[in-house]
Amino acid sequence: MNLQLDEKALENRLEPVPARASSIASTQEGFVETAHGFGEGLVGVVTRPRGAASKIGVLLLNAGLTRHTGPFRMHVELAQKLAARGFAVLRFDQSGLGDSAVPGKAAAGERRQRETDAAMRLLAQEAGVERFVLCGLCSGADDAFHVGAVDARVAGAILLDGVAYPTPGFWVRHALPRVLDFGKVLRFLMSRRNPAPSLSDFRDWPERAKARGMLAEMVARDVRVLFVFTGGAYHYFNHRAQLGASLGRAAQEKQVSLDFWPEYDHTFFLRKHRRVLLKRIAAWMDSEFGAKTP
Amino acid sequence: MSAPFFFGAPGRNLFGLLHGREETHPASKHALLLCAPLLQDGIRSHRALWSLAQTVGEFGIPALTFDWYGTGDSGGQDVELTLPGMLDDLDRASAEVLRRGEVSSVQFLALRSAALPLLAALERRVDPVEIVLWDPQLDGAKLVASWKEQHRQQLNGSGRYVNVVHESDNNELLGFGVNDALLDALAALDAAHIRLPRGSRVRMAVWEMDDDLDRFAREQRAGGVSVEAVLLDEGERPEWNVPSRFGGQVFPRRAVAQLAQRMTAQVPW
Repeated sequence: MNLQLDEKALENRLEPVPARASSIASTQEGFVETAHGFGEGLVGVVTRPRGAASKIGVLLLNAGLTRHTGPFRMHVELAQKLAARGFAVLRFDQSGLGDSAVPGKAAAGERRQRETDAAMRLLAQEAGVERFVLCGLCSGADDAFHVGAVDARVAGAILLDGVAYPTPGFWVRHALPRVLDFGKVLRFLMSRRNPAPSLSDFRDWPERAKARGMLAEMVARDVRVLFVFTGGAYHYFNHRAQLGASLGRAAQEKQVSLDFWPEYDHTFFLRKHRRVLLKRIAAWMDSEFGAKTP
Repeated sequence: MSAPFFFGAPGRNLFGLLHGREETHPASKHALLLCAPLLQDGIRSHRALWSLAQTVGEFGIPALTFDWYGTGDSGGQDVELTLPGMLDDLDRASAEVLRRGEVSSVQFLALRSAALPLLAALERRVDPVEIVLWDPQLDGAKLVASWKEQHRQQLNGSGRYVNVVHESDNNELLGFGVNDALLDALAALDAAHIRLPRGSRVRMAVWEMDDDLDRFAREQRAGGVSVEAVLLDEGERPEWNVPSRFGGQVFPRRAVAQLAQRMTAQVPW
C-alpha cells in the first residue's frame, strides 16, 4: 500500500474544498453545526464553537461500517463536547458508508488519503483549523494510524481499540485461564480445523515492523497519540505492557498515552461507559492541545 | 446526487439528505419520504435506506432520508425522542421534501418500527395517502417488549462483556437514553386500530406474512384502504433479533433492489 503523497495532492490542499451542496447552519447552545457535501460525494457535519476555535481541529472517522454519527450516536456527543471546549470537529462518512456516495475506482489506501485530505480542507475552510487530530474506533483507528503516519498536518491521533499485536506475554495470559477448561480447549482445536474469520481479518494493520516504524515516525514529529483498549480487544490485547512490547520504544515516549479498560465493550454500549470515554478524550485534548476552559 | 441540510423549527433542527437528479425539474410529480426505524435498527439499516433513496432519486423521484429529533445528526438528546415529536418531524419532513423536490405529493416508506409513528401521523390526514411498509412492526406492545428483551440479552447473554456484569442507567435501552413516555406511547399503539384516510393505499414488503400483518390488512381493508403485500426473498432475511448480530449492519441487497424497482414503477406491485 502506497501512502506517500504526491506533489499534485500537496498542491491541491491549498485550494478551497469543492462543495457540492450548500450547508445550512444549525445553532444550538455552545456550538454551531453545519451540514456539508464535499469532496467526491462525501457528506459530513461540522460542529464548531460559537466563539473562536482552536487551530487544532478533530476529524471523527467511521467506526467499521457505522455511519458518521458513531455507535449509539457517540460521535455526535463527542463533537458537541469538544466544540464546547473550543475545538472544531468534522464527523463525515468515507465513500461507500453512511450518507456518502459509493467509492470510485481508486485503491483503498489512496482513497482514504484523498478523502481525509478533503475533510481536512473542509474543516480548515469552515473553522480556520490548521492541524488535526484524527479519532477513530476499530477500522477508524486503523485509518487514523495510517494517515497520521504520513500526513504532516496530523497533530494527534485517538485510537480506540486500534493497532497492537499479540506478544508471547499476551498468549500466556490468554491461554492460562483456558487451558484447564476442556470444553474451551476442544472448541479451540475444532476452530483450527475450519477457522472462521475473526475480527482481526477485517482490520487494516501493517506488518508489525512497519507499524513500529510508523509510530516512531509519528512520535518523532511530536504527534500526540492516545490509545484506548477495551475488553472488546481481548482477542489481541490483554495487558498495558503489551503496547510497548508490540509497538516498540516509541509507545513508551511521552507523546503516547494509554488507557486499558478491559471491563468495557468494543462499542461502548452503556451510556456510563461512553461518559467515561468522552470525559477522557476531552481531558486529553485539553492537556495536549490546550483548549480554553469549558 | 444527494444534498445534506438542516431544516425544521427554530431550536428543533432536523438533518435531512435529499436524493435526486442534477437537473432543475424532477421527472416525477411525487416525492418519497423514507422513515428510519428507531434505536439500533436505525443505525444498522441506515445504508440500506440510503441506497434505496439514492436509487429512487437517480430515477427522477426526489427522495428524502432524515433523522428524527434526538437521533442521528438532528438536534436534541436521545431522551428527547417522543411520539408527538416524531409526528411533528414527519409533518415538517414531508413539507420539506415537497418544497425542495418541487412536487405536489409525497409517498411514504417506513422500515420496521418506523411504521408505528408513520401510521399514527397519517391517521390525522384527510386525503388518501400512499405508504410502503417494509418488514413493519405493527404491535407496539410487542415491539417494546422485544426491545427490552434484546437489552437484557446484550447485558447478560451476548458475550459483550468478559468476566464482568454491568447494570444500565435508568431510562437506558439498547445503548440509548429512552424516555418512558416514548415507550408507553408506542406500547399503546396497535396499527390494526389506526384508521388511515379512506382510499389510502398500503403496500407491505415482507419476508413472511404473520398474524399481525394479516390482522392489520383485514382491519384496514374494512376501513376502505387498499392493502397489498409483496414477499421478499427469504434467503436474505435480516437477523434483527439475534443478540450476536446486534452490532452488525443490515443490507438486504435484493430487497432494496426489489423495492426500488417497484417504487420507480419499473416493476408492478
